[in-house]
Order: sequence, then C-alpha cells, then structure tokens
Amino acid sequence: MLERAALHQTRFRTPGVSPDARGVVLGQRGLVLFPSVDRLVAFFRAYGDEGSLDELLPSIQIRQLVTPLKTREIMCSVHAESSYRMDRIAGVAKLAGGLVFTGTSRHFVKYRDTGSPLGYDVQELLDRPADLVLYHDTFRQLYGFERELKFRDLVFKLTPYRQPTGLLGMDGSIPTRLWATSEVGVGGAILTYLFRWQIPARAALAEWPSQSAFDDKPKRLYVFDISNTPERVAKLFSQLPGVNVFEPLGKAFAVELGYRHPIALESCSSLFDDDTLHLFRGDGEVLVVHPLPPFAPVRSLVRTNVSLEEDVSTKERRDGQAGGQLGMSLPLRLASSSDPWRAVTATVVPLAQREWLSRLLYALPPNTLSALRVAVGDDRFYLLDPSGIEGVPLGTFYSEVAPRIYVPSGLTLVPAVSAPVLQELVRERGSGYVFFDADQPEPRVVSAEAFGPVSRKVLRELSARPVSADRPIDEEAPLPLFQYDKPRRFPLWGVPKREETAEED
Amino acid sequence: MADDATKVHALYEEFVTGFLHPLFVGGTAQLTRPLSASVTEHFSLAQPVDPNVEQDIRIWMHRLASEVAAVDHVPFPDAGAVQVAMALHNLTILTDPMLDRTFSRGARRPILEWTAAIIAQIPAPQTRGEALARHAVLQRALEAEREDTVVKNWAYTYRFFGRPPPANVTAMPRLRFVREEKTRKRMVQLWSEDEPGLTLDTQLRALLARSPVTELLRADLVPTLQFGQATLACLSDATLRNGIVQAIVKDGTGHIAQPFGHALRVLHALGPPPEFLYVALVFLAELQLLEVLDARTGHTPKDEPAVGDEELFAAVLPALLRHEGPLEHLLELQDVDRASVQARAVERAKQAGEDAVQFAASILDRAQPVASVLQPPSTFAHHNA
Repeated sequence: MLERAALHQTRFRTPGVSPDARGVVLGQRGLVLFPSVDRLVAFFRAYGDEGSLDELLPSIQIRQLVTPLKTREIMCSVHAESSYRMDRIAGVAKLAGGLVFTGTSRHFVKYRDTGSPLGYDVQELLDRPADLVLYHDTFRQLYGFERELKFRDLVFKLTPYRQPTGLLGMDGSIPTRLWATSEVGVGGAILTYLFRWQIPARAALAEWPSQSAFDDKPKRLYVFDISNTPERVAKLFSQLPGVNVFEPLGKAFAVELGYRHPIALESCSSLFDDDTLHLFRGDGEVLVVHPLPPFAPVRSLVRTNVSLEEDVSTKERRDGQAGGQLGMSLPLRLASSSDPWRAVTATVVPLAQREWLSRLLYALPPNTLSALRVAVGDDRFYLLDPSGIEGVPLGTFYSEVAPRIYVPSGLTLVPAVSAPVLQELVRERGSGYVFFDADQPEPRVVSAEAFGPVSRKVLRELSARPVSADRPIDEEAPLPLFQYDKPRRFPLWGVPKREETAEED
Repeated sequence: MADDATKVHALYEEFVTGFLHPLFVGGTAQLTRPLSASVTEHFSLAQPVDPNVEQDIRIWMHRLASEVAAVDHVPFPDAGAVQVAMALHNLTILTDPMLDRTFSRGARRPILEWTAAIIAQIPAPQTRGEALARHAVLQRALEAEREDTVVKNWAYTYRFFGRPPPANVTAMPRLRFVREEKTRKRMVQLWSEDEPGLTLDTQLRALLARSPVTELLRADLVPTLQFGQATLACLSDATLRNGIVQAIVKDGTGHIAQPFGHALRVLHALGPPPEFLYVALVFLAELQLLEVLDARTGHTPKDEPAVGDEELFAAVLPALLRHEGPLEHLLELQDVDRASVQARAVERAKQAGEDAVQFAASILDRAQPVASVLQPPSTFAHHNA
C-alpha cells in the first residue's frame, strides 16, 4: 500500500507532502491516531514530562473519529513544523501506542520509521468521500469526524491521582510555598494560626455565584498564599476538614498536595491565564478563581487587641536615677525594600544549578560572554557583568550598593548608611568583592584575583582531531567517447565461441 | 573447453572494464572483439574481477535510474542490461569504416546476425529496477560520441575514424607542419546513417523496444511507437509512470503528441482488454495534467500539437473532463488547478476538434481500472515490496 520514499525524490502522490531539508517526507500537519482516550492522555503525559506541550497547543486538534463500520478512534493533529518535532512526537506516540501520520488536509500517510528513514508515499490515493484518509503500511482507512475535543476541557475533566509518596514531593520534601483554600467557618481560625506562628502568608476571599436556586448564598472560600510553610503546618492543614492545600506548579495553577495531575500541567502553562487561579482538587473538582480577588497579608487581617501601658523604665529615669551606662552596637541587617532594582550587576549561582549554568553559557551571545567574569567558590559561582547581569537569569541577583559591595536585589542594608560609610565599614576586604547574604550574618569576600573571563575559566582546552575528507564526487559524469579496437584484416578470427554460434545459426 | 572458457572470461573482463565501466563513469570506452550470441549466458552471469569496477557501475546505474524514478536497488549484473550493452557494443563495431575493407567486409554479416540474436534473447523487464537498469545503459550509449581526427602535414592528409592517430603520424609537428583537426559525431547519428543493407537503425529500434522506459522517453527515435505489453507493464507501475511523465513534461508534450496519439489509436484498434486501455489513458492524461500544473512553477512547454495523430492525443484532456467513470479521480484537484486544467482542455478541444474528442471519450469509456500492475502483475509488486 505504501512505498518507501527515496533520497532526492521530490514528487509524491500523497497530496501536500514534500521532502524537508533532511529529505524526510513531511506534510503541513502531523497526526497521531489512538485507539482510546486513555492512550491519548498517556501520550500527553509522556510528552509533557519530556518536553513542553505549550509548543503543540496553538495548532492542536483533537477529534473523535468514526470509521464506516462505526468503530471509534481518537486523533490528535498538530502542525508538523519540522521533522525534528515529528520525530519527538513519533517517539512518544509509539510509547503510548499511537500511530503517526503526516499530511496536509485529508490524506495522511505514515510518518517515517526505521523501515523507511525518509518516510513513505502512497501507491494509490483512495478517492472515496471521507473527512480523513489514513494510509499505513498495513491498512488504509476512511474516517469521518464525529466530534471535537478541546484540550482545555480534557485537562479540566481528568481527575488527579494520589501520588505514592504521600504529601512528599518528588524530591522527598514538602514544598514550602503552598496555596490553601478553606471554608469560611475555619478561615478565621487559620488566619490567627498563621499569624501566631509568624508564617508569611496572604489571604483573599473568593466568591462564586450560587449554582442552584436552593442555595441561599453564594459559595465563598478563603484562599491563602503561604510561603515558607513549615512541614508540620502543611501536614496539619492537609488533614483539616474543610481545608485543601495545593502545591503551586505555575504562576496561576496548582494541584492538591499529595496528588498529581495525569498531564504535566507545567508543560502546558499557556492554558492558564495569569489573572485567573486554577486549583485542581484531588476529587476532580477544579476551582477557577476569576477574577483574582485582592490578597492581603494575614497580619493585617487578624484581629488584635491594643492596650496602652506606661513605660516603667522611663519613669525611673525621670526620678533622677541613671539607668547605667548604655552602649549601642548595631549590626548591619538586610531588609526587604520596595525600591526598584538598581545596578543589578552580579549573580550568585548555587552549586545545584551548575548544570543549568553550563547549558546557559552555550546559549549566550558573544558580547555577553566576553563581558562576563566568573569566580568559582566552594559551593557557588559568582558572576559579574558591569553592564548588567540580566543575560544570566540564574541564581540570586545582587545589586551593587557601593563599589564592589553587593546585596541581594530587592533587599537593602539597614540602617541605610551611605556608600562611603559602607566602604569604611568593610575596610579589611582589600581589593575583594563583598557579598551580603540574607541568611548569613557576615558578608563574604571574594578576592579580585578569583574573577576571570568565562572563556578562560570554564572552557576546556581544545585539541583538533585530524579526519580524512575528500572532494564530493562529480554528479555529472563526462560523456563517454567510443573508440574502436585496433583494425584487423580478419576481424572474426580468434573470437571465442564463434563456431558454436555458426552451428546454432 | 577450459581454454575456451578462459578466453570468454578474458573477453568479458575486457568488455566490462574497457567498455561498460567507462560508458557509465565517462571517458574513452574501448570496444573489444565482436561478441557472439553464444557468450551471452556467460556474460549475463559473470562478475568482474575488480570489485571497484562493479561498485562504480552499480553506483552510476542507480544514479541514472533515480533520475527517472525512485528505486531501491538496481540489479547488476543483470542479464537484460548486460545484453543491451552487448548489442550496443556490436552495433558500434559495425559503424567502424575499417570493416569496409577487403577480407574484413565479410565479418559484418555475422556480427549483425549475432547482434540480432542477442537482441532477440533479451526478455521483457520484470521489475522496476530491471527496466531502469537497461534504460541507464541505453541512455548513456545514446549520449555517446565518436571522435574523428584529420591529421595534415606538408604532403599528406590522414583520416582516423574513432581511433587516435598513431604517434608516427603526429611526430615532429613543427618540422612537418602537422595539423590536427578533431570532430565529434553522436553515435545515434552514426547508427542512423548506416550503409544500405546493414539496417543498423532497425536493430537500434529493436533494441529500444527491449527497454520500454527508453522507448517512451526517446519517442523521437521510434517513429511508429506502440504500447506493447512490456511498455504497458512498466506504465502500470505508478512510480515508474510518474517518473516517465515528469521526464517527458520537462521537454514539453508537443513533440511526443504524434507518436503517443498514434500509439493510442493503434492500441484501440487492436481491441485490447479494458485494463490495457486504462493504463495507457492514465499515462496520457497524467502527461497533460502535469504539463498544465507544471506551468504554474514557471515551466513552459516548447510547442503545441497541431494535426494528425496529435489531435487524438490533444483530445484526451477534454474527453477526461467530460468523462464519468473510473478515471474521474485524476481530476480531484484544488480549485485553482482544476480551473487551469479546464482552460487547457478548452484550448485542446479547439485544436483537436469535436470528432477527435468524442473518439477519445469513447476510448475512455471502455477503460477499466487495474489494481496496480499489468501482466506480469505480481512480479512488479513482488520485487518492489
């Protein structure tokens, strides 16, 4: 039914396919055929775990197909774009039990496989009326479109499953940043609890119109955005009736703690608007909070009692008794600042992100790479770029508050001393660079000699390996020139088997 | 006997290394002794001693074959292709003017008979690879040339046809005022200008008939083209047909309108099975459709058909548009393409006249679809699988 495409073959009987730069037969769209929806979900799950579903979403079409014998199958079609993308799709589809085709409008032919590395072409087109015709090496089949499934609907209808590690994440710990919803009845208690344990959190009240005429009031839930959640608090909240705890996977979507969505939601983040919160509960319900209500810190929402008491110590001093020799020694501290970030010229990349850093260095443009200087510490990398470190979006960004003195961006040193005073305070640094850390009381000094250009510091030495190379052979052979044998007086003398021929004649 | 076999193989080595190898890779193809029909079997099965020679021939055969149609593997040594090359070799020997001398003149008749016997032994191609292999041999031979040299010195003029002048003739060029003039002649021309009684052009036509692909692509060499069984078997292979159609359309369908129109008329007159008609009509219709559709990519055919059998060829397209039957699927085109085809069909209908269109329509009505290949049907599919 199919024949293998050959190298340099330019014309195909399958409409709308052509060879790409590698010679692989490719139409404008790729199509994956699945026997059932669960195989389709398995495909999305595997593809999302390995790469990004976002790149497929703009052109994705999922349809239920029906054959003339009324059996039903599922197809998923995307823009083919390149054979590299199709190779990925084909690899994942094979795992999920799907068949991969390529084509443009109606006729789709099997995508390349190991049997034919350049793809296939049909031997003969099927000219019967159908919405879709698929040509495989073992069958060819007509299909009609039955209904279209939206990818978004599919994601919202799937029920998250309980993850075997319980509340612990893949890294063996409970995430510290969490979202939680609670019924209004327990909301107040949770607010107080969070405030009492000084857990940084923000709260908002979300409201949904009533679904039925029997509801006497709209549905209301407290939504908490909790950062630095201690493990015990996360466990407590997840066991509380009326409270659901969610692990944020992106800016505006989260799955209940202890559950996983069948499709990797991180890889299809374009489905979720930033101004809408999507919370996937373990029982399959999806809470969509739109518009996003305003969040306020819990400390401003908790009820406080203010009582005025007289300061006893000042009273004593008014009596004329000195309170003793009082000395003041103020350590410099880091405090958060709402000022816009200025002079962000350094970043500190922890050891754990070394792999990312090395990958990033491959992608940096040459001018950024040449300006970048790096120092390699025991457990972190210090990177400096006087023109701005935005080119390296890794690690913790640092702003230069005084010459060669850096504090994490978004924080400021308090008391707010001026730059010359600051330089005097850290006088013993010499020519080194001073980095203040949020979690360390003392700053670190990195000597100036430790910094060097990235190209010298991290690039391995190159040694060229000689390989053999020849000119490509000429495609056009010169025309042959016929030249007669030397002239003989008796041309047939000595010709082998001459007599036999004569006898046969 | 052992001696004879050794001699035959030595001749085979000379033939493959000196003639067949340069025929493909280019350069001087040295003719050897005349080849008798009795050595055909040995030549069809033997392999050259030098594996590089065989490898080169394979590579160039595949390259030339792929220019026409996609093919996985071109067989070599292949009996058909080798026999075609042997026949060409003998035909070329017969163009040697040195054979027209006393004593040697008598050799021409046996060589011609051997050539005819070799051609008669060539079977119809059974696979796409076989069809393309013998086309590759013929295509190169039809492009080949012979170099003639005229050497003049202060006293004499010497002529050497297809042989380099010996060293003593060109020695001391300054002293003897030696001047050399070289001219080249196409072998096709030499074969058609043979002496009366030799019938080299008849032999060449018989040889072309053994290679259906060449016969269709070089219809100019075959004045009375016919859709024979071997030709239709080749055309029933969709890939091969498509490749042939593209190669023809590159040069325009004007010059092939007469031979193909004539072939269709003869085929119809013979009252063939409907499947034969179907294959021939699909081929002719695809020729015209591709020509219209290729015009969009900037390709313009060279001339238009005007009279005679050309009318029938021209009438196939308008008849196809009126046709309601198994050939309808050929017109499943996009709207833009269909409009261009319709415009061309109107033009062709004017050229052909209503009678010709109705005649063509009656042929189209008789045609019945055939699965993928004709007789031998399974062999093409089997070998291509």
